[in-house]
Amino acid sequence: MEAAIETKGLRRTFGELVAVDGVDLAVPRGTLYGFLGPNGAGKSTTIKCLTGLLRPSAGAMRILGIDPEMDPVAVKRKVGVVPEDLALFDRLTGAETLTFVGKVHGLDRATLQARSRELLELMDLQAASGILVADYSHGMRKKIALAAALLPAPHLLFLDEPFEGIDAVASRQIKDLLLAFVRRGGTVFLTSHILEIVEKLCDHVGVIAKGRLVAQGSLDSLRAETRRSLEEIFLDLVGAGEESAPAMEWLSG
Amino acid sequence: MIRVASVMAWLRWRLLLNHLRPTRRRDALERASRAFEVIGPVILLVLFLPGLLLAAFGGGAAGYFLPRAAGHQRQILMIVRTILSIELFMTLLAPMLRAAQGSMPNLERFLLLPIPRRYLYISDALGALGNPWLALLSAGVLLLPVGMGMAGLPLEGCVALAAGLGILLFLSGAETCFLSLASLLFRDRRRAEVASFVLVAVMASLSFLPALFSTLQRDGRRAAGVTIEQSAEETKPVASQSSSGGRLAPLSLWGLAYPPELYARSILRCADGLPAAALVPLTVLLLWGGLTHAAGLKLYERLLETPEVSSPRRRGSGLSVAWPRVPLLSDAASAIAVAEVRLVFRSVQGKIQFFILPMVMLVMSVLWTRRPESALFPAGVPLPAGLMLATLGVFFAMMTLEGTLLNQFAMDRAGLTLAFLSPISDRDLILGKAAAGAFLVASRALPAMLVAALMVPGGSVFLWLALPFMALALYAWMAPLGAILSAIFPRPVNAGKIVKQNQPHAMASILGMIGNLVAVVPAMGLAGVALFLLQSPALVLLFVMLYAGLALLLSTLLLRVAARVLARRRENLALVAQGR
Repeated sequence: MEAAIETKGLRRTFGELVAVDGVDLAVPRGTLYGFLGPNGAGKSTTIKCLTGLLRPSAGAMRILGIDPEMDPVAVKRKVGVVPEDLALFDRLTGAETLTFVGKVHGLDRATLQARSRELLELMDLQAASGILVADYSHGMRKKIALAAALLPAPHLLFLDEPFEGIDAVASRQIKDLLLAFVRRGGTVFLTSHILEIVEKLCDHVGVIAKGRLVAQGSLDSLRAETRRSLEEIFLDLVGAGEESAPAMEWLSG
Repeated sequence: MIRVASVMAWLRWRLLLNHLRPTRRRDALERASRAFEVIGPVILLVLFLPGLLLAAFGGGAAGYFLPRAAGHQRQILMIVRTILSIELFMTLLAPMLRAAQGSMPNLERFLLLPIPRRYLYISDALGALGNPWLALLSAGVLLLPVGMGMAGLPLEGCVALAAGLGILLFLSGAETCFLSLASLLFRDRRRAEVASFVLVAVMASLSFLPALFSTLQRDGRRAAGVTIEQSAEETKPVASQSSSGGRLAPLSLWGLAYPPELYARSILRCADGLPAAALVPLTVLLLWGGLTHAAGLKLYERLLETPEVSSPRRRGSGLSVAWPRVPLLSDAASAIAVAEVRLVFRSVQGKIQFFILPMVMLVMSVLWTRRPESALFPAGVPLPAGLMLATLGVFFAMMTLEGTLLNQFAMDRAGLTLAFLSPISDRDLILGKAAAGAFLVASRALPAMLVAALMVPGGSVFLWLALPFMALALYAWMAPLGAILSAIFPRPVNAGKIVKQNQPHAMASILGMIGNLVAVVPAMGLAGVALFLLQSPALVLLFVMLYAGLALLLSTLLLRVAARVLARRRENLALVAQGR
């Protein structure tokens, strides 16, 4: 079966800084793929390349079998994204944001209304649907961004830190939603700093460190190979396993 | 306290310097355009230092020569009053403008630091003296006593120094007081937007007052049968009386309530060699200084106690969103156009531009109807005044759209990322923006033309009909040019505020203005030929319509070029939209 995301030698540089260095991703369809890495490892840059916000310096990509460099609009029709900055117009209301996305995707009025209602209910945003996004809290913004990404019924979801800044109830709802999405054949590619969430939620992981993909595969196989927790595997892979925090004896409490 | 004040001074200095530093992750063109933007503030900074020296020298010289100018006290009093009144105006206005621009101090951050609130207040009050207008004044008033001392009046110099410290105490107190007030007012988004709108409307209205007053004054004189020559004669005795100088009138009640007057009186008494007589205004001045700081501290404490207050959110209409479909455009382009129009009308800038232009046109029409002989337009132009006003309105409409038209991508900020992540082609994005711009120009130009037509009617109907086509032709040229310039010179802005930085990139503005002129010259030329050589208003309409048609045709081709430029600049625009 064709992979949902496939990259070969993906590389992105900013001047002399190599942010992503020859990454070969293979994300099978119907999986919940956790993309892990320490701060500045290249996670967001990789997502930006995959979603068309950044042009790779080198390498090839295929998203759902389409080359995004050749036909970016076709890829975007099948993909939903919640990026780092959430990508929302401050001066549209929540309902207008969903309407804008629906109209761009060419949804008819009835479908748009029905889906918007369901998504707003799920995200507990019905009461706030007429409020400008500028007045939303961070958690509300995250939820409306996720609702906007889900509205066109994408085949593949890119989520950059989806659980950051949202409450436990919403977090649980989103997890259930993502699992249901994957059960129905969708693919989720998410980054997260919270290893526990990735361990419980994802079935596949990729670990990036200093721009290089240092591990990739199903979580079960990784665990079976090493007989260790994801945290231990992660720390080992990114080269932080052996390091201990400096003593800093002046921190006497 | 000294440690806190020095840390705060260092913080201000670092923030200023770091503002000039470029950020990484930008391409060469973006770095060059950023460097271009930084030149202005650097030049101002460089010019400020000689200004400071000049103010100090001026203060010292004034102190030295004041005791010798006993016969010109009224004139000197008038100069000091004027300078200090401007200072006071700036001191009161600047916090409001700063607040409207969103550049208020981040008090939440300071609250977390182990600094007593009173110290924070004092460091803020001292920081107020670092503002350019107060720094220049400080140099002047602190060197003035030195001049007096050098003129052989050391005791008077000491009293003048106390008066100088008094006026600085008052002004810094007034500034911190207003800064806290403005912070309280502007920290809620909606309240801030309303206040910004009111502030701009009031300032715009104030700028028309002199012209309106002069009209009313002239009307009054005309009604009373007074000629200009008579009026000049009447002013002569007053001038000669004032030049005779003489003794100062006793301090009135309004003088006691006006600290700049108290300062002026104090130093003039010192210059007269009567330091004891300066003690009354000096004491009241110091009292004023104490009062403003007491009020300032109270407001500051209130601000610190409630740093995160905002008014309850307004509940909207919910799911039923009216989202019209723009004819001739694809779904995506139509969605972009509708979103753009909504965003602009919901921004403070958009509202201001929409409402101010008809107001300007109304005032100009009133001025014209009351004073047709005024030099509103060059003499000898054989065109009806209403038509001239309406033409001006069209140009103003184009100019007010500059902020949107010449920065149409970066102004969406994170919304641009949403557009880039959506299945929208570059061409659809450009077409959607162009359609929105057309609607916005029409929404500004048509009311302006309507006001002119209603207030100052007259002239051939063909000429009036030619105007909308002229606007169309202008916009047809500017739409692709605006898109290209917006793609090449993006500037992250916050349309919810009225900051200067919300203007488009300087290069885009300059090139846009040139483009505007280049586009209008052929239209004007054709209209001129038809009207003055061929003597036919109907031909004016025909020529302008033909020109508009040609402009539209070329515009569709140029929009394709704009789409290509956008495709090449997408990545940089995405970075700019994310504030990188």
